[in-house]
Amino acid sequence: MSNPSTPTSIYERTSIRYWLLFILIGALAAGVIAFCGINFFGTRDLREIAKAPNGELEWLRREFHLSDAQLKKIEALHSAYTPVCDEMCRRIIEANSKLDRLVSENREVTPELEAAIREAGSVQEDCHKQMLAHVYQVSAQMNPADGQNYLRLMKSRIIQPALSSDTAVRAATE
Amino acid sequence: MYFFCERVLAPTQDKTPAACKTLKKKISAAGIALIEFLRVWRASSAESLMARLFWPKKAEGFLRTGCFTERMDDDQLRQKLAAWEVRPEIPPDFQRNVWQKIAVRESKRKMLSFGNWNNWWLRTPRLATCAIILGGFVGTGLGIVESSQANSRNWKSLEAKYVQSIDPYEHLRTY
Repeated sequence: MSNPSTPTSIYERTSIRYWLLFILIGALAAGVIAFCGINFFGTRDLREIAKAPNGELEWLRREFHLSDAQLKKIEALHSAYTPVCDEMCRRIIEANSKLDRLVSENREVTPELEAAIREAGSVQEDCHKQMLAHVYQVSAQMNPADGQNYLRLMKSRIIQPALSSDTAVRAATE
Repeated sequence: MYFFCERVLAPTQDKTPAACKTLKKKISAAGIALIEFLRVWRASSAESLMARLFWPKKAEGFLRTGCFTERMDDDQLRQKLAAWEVRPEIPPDFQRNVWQKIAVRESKRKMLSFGNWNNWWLRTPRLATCAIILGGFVGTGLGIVESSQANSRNWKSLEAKYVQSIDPYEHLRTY
């Protein structure tokens, strides 16, 4: 239809199909770039905290609004508690291994098995005492309201791990 | 004739046959003038008509015979029509102008609409801009939602990491 002597416009040379393809690709590219950019920059802070060796203490600082002085004291408590926790781990492993072996070997409750059960219970009891002492020490460094929140969270995560937060027991105790 | 005068003229006006004949002639002349006016109006735009009325050009083509400007009988009219010559003058760039007009019209049609859509915002560059901006907004919205969920997951994992660091049972459970 077009005459070779007449200069053709860009709209003649580029068909509507190519324009639609270009629009589709452009819109998709803009969406992907925006999505990746927002996702990358929006999660960068927490990703870096999660990668850091003491990320859990940074979480504690932000979650319970700790000042630098409070964080320093809690870091010291945490460092002091770490070897205790490792010792507890070792004792739990030993007691549970012994109990596991005796349960497999015996066909009735022997005095040795009873002692192993008591030992495992004793280790668990010690473990709970040590943990609770540490939790109380940490909460004492916080502001009262934050300390209360910390105790509530630790109670649900550590002291009563098998109980959900909405049980009849909880309702009765409260 | 009398009935015609009765219907058209006011009661106080003269309704004699002579007056009625005069009135009929006037109406015929007015009708012819109206038909000519409508023909010219249809053939040209109002603008060119105004120009023709206020800036009369030299009579060309059929108007050169003076059929509508002079009073003449049939013989005179035949004589004039016989003398009327058509001398078409095609400008040298006529063909080029025609192709240019066709090209402009085609490009306008493609530029202004997709198919039968004539909305201004559907013109191709604007549509592309709108689609890219829309894509950006959608991506931003999804990015905000996704980053919020990822932050929530990371926050929970940090909480779990802290609990693991102080709870030996939780610590052993993860290994």
